[in-house]
Amino acid sequence: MNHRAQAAGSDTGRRVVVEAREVSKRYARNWALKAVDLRVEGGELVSLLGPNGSGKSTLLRVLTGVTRPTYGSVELFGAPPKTSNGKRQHLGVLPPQSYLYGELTALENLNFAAVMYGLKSHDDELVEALAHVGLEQAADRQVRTFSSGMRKRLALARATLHDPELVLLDEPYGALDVEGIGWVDAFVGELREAGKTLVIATHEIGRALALCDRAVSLRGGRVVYDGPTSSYEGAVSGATDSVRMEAKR
Amino acid sequence: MGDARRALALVRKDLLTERRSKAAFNAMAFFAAMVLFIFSFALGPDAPGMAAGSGQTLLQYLWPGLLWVAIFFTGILALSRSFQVEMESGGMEALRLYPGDKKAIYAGKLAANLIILGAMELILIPVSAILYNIDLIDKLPALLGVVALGSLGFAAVGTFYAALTANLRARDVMLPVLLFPVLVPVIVAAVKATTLVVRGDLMGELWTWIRILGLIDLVLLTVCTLTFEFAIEE
Repeated sequence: MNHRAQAAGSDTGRRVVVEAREVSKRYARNWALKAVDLRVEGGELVSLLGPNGSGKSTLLRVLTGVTRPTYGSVELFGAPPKTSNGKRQHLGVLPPQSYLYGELTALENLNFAAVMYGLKSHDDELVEALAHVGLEQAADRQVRTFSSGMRKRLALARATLHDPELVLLDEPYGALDVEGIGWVDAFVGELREAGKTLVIATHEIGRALALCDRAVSLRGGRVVYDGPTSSYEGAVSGATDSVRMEAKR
Repeated sequence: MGDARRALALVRKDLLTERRSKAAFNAMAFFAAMVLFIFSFALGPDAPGMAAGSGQTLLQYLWPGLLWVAIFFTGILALSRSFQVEMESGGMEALRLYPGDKKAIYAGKLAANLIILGAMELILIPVSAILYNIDLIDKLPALLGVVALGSLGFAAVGTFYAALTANLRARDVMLPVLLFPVLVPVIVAAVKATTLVVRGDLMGELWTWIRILGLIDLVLLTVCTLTFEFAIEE
């Protein structure tokens, strides 16, 4: 059963923020992505689901333009990532690792990101951004002394510092305790209320289905489900069997 | 203007990181001291120089070459470290994600590497001159000019290759293997110009070598700046 067609062809008249067409990515002899189509419209909350090695992170990296697809094409805000350099201003990314500089303080990390995003932020604005993620007390502490939860909060503050239109979150719940997971849920809720477009790659299927409108499930680099989260559970079990058969071939 | 701010932010970030970790500078200072002492012990303080009747010891005669051996080898440590910091924190990918011209990343990294290298040279030159008993007072402005030009060429191509090899597993081996063949023109011109400054420019060749060194720097800077974006691509 091909579930991909359920959502890919939908046309709501909203602006297309991300579009991947027939995207395949090969690392050495392994295909991380195989002919993936994905179209995300403005204001959508999309969860990318799938087990380890299914291609979620690779797909996010291809969408951001950090990795080039082996085949296929990607458009970010209507232009290929390579040529949409200026449009990166509208893109916020939470990578699976924090990508923070351990020797710098939280405030210095945010200040660096602000300059790199072309913002003219003052320290009090950055402290406010830190307060928003509950880190105002740790503003002058070096990041290498932070717990993984604090790093995740700081990375989220950095990813949304420039008020991006599209936010890609790769494993936002990774290495977090229950409190941290609840905090990320609340943060995602805020982004949703602010009308941001979100793509969340996660193992936390229950949370993703509760938070998002649409689920895209990957198995072995292929999309096995693309549709509303409400019909995900029933649809994906049958699709998994067909992918297993294909993988054996 | 935005790209200039980005380059400056990168310089500030790299220098702040280095000031707090001292990872590159300590290693460079130790390595430079080792090079100077080993040559001093190996050649002996009183061995006569190559030019008969010059009154120079062998160490004094070889000093221009030894200085550049120390600068290039210790510089490799700084270059390697500059992108290792990015790889350890995953910052290379983050840098690629930021908007703006990627040439700003090259400019920032190059400037930071030059400052760290320059700081090391400011210690290395007087210490080695005292150790080898070389009088540099009159020659210092010309010597610093030549060292600055040589360091610029070295850092320009070194920053490029450090970015290129940052993703490789054997980057510590690959960086000098790839870098030194490209650096041969810089090494030849820098050593020759330094020799003329220190030993005297009887044939009036110094300006020719300084011009050659400047031209090599210009070519390397242009090529590396224009192609840096490809060097940091995955």
